[in-house]
Amino acid sequence: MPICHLSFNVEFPETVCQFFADMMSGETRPFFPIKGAFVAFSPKNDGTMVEAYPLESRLLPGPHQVMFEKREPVKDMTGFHFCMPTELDRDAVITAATALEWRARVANRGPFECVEVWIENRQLVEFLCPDMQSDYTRTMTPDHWDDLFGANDPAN
Amino acid sequence: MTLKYQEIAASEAVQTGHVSLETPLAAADVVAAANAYGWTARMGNRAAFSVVEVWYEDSHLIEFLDPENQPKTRAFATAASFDQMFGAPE
Repeated sequence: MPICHLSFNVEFPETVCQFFADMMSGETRPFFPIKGAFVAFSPKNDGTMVEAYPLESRLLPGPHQVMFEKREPVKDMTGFHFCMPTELDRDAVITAATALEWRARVANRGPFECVEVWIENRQLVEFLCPDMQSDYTRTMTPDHWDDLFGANDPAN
Repeated sequence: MTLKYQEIAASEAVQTGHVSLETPLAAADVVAAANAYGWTARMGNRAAFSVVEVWYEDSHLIEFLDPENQPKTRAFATAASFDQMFGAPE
């Protein structure tokens, strides 16, 4: 498993983590180091976690290791996104996201399809439903990337 | 249209999360590689396990798990483990 866990900032961490727990058929808990933060666990007990922090929480490189600090809440769109598999089908993902009034839709990325879910209508997560996962794993390799877009050429 | 990209003014205040990754490299090799880019890199003690903190571009955190720490992290990062340490939810 290449990615173990990740975090991002949201307005309603508990709700967001419950959504991710639903996507993984997992569970949520408060994330103890940060007040108001939550974490969603995979039921596979393989170390997969999605952490949601309040909007004002920041990670900073403290003098010896990471430290947490509160700053002004930020609700900008970001350049951060991630893609994860789910055992739910596309309709179930869209229904769950839409119930929270988040934008959700099937998107065609060319080599694969995904369900775009805009967490709190701000943070993009791409879900790969069972019928989408083989296209993704088959095509998202360096060799296939070269086939699609041409081999690495410093002139480009 | 499903997705569009827009450039906005850079802001130090915007930090968009962190990621933890497994690596086959030894911790010292991760630190050396990050240092070669001029980035802060060091061991971080997370009590139940250790990570290599790499602050890429000295602003965003990636936690790398070397082979020694991967099983420790997997054992820690479960709901049951959290309940043991911090109490089960009521």
